[in-house]
Amino acid sequence: MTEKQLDSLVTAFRSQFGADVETEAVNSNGRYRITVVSAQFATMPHLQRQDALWETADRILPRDATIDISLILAYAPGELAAAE
Amino acid sequence: MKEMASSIFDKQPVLKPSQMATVAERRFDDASALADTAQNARANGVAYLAGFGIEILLKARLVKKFPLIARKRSHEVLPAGREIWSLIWRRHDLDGMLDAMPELEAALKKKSERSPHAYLSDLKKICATWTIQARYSPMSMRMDEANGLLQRVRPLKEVLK
Repeated sequence: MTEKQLDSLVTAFRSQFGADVETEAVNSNGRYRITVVSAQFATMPHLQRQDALWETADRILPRDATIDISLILAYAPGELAAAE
Repeated sequence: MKEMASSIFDKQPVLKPSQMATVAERRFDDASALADTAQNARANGVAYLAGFGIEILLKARLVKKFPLIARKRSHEVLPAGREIWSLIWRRHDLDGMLDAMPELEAALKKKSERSPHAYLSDLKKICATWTIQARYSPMSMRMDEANGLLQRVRPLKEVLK
């Protein structure tokens, strides 16, 4: 995906989930791994978080660009500390 | 002639992708049997085994794609093949496996467009969620959540075989 598309997605995640968002390029062809940390996830099962995030990604990005998302990792704030 | 393993605890020879698919199917069957109990106490087992089956199928795909690297022993692998060899035989990094198979992503995306199942996004959701560390987790999953995972794995495994 383009950097502009990535910026749009990050903005949407921040706005919709009140999230801290970090992105990491997986390769030089516009493929990214995205980490989203939101307090909203604290009470949400993991697959439900994924559904919510991918629903946003599918809405914001053109279909061809979603393939460039390697993964979207979703954490509640306390979980990220535990994962590191 | 190589000797066959006589116990599940024997060191396994390098499996063929078709044998790996059989193993994956057995783990899905195990997950389904646990899900059939409808007991929350069995939910972690359902989720672990369902995701483990996906891991095996992704590894089978890598073995099929990189047969020469997969057949080598650790000390024989050249630096260029080490990442792939490690993904197959050492690591449990589902997203790393997926990153190594862009053609699989493209095929799943195409299949998703002609199907009610969102194969590619479901696979990415599972890759982001499942971890082999789940087998050590003292937390307990609820059976409805584990069943949700299993329901997504069921159609996915058919297209990954």
